[in-house]
Amino acid sequence: MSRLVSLGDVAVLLSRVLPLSWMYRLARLEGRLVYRLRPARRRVVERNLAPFAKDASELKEMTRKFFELKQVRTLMMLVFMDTDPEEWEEHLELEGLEHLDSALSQGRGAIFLASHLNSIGVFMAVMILRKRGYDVRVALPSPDELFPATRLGKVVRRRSASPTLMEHIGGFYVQFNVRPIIKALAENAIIGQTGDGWHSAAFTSVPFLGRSLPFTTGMMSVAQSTGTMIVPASIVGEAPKLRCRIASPFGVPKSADPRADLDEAVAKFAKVLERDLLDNVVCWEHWLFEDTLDTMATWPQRPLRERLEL
Amino acid sequence: MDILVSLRAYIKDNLVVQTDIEDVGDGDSLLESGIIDSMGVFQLVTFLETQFGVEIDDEEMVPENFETMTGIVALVNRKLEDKGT
Repeated sequence: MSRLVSLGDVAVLLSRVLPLSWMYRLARLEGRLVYRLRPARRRVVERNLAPFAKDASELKEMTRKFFELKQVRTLMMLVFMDTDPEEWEEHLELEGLEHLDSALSQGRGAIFLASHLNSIGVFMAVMILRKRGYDVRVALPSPDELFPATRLGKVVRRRSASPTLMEHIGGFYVQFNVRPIIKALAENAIIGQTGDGWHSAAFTSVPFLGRSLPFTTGMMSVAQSTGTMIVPASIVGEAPKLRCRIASPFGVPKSADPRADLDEAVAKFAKVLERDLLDNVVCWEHWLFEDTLDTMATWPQRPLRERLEL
Repeated sequence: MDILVSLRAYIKDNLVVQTDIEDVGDGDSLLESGIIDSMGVFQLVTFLETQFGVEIDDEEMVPENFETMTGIVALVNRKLEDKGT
């Protein structure tokens, strides 16, 4: 049974009467409250950001910013879904569409490989692409609606013809069985996925942030088998000024050493992510994990069932 | 046709594996150990469907059915029994 009302509904209603800049200030305030009132969470993020700060004062500022921006991004998404699609590109800019077009010109679809950097922005980017006519479908590890509408939410949302985020992003459930992905690529569709997660049957370790860390091989393996191009994409900038930066596509060859080809492709993606992450270090959602990089290192050792769960 | 023999031959010749498949026992983990991944399972399913004339539904493409070679053979045998072969 859906909930009656949520803070998100309140935010959407307020955003219709208050200037958006005020709403973002409120979101930042909410983030600051989380920073102050959740010390355990604050310490986790602080520990993770410590290597990137030059001193204690900068670390404090970066940590506070992490929580503020997180709340602003959440508000952005709520407002975005309530906004006229004609205005969507005022909220998020797309850069490098020619790279996506180049990948699609091969007729084998494309794998739009994003990350958890400003991750909520990925949904906005996908919605804009779909509005522009691109057949993007997002593969998700759970069949459940990501932001289920409350009863009040269903009443107040303007875009009631398509109220769910799953519908907006062409979301479909795929867990271990890649058949729906292969089918979509054969239709020259674009599959949206993240390349820095843990929902995978296999990993390979590549250089990342000064360590050798495991990244999933799933989508690279699909690309290698189907001849589809990988199109790395990062959501960069600080909310509410976000951009989707689409990078040059690359294929995953199958030479005499296909395993090495796979590993090289994963390393390429990790390099793009690292570059964009270092420019936007307070925007990576994974910093909420206890000792993020150590946690990433353990992913391949976790039971498969646990890794496939959300 | 011996299902296990065909299966081993297919994995050895076609899938990107990290280990020599001859060193992998029938009951050894294929997925937990990362020997084959989701794409490998898809390719395997396509092979099994073509080779043995069975249909493996999306609901059956779950880790439990593909964790070991013994498990995969059992799945194919079940499908063949259902077909009455």
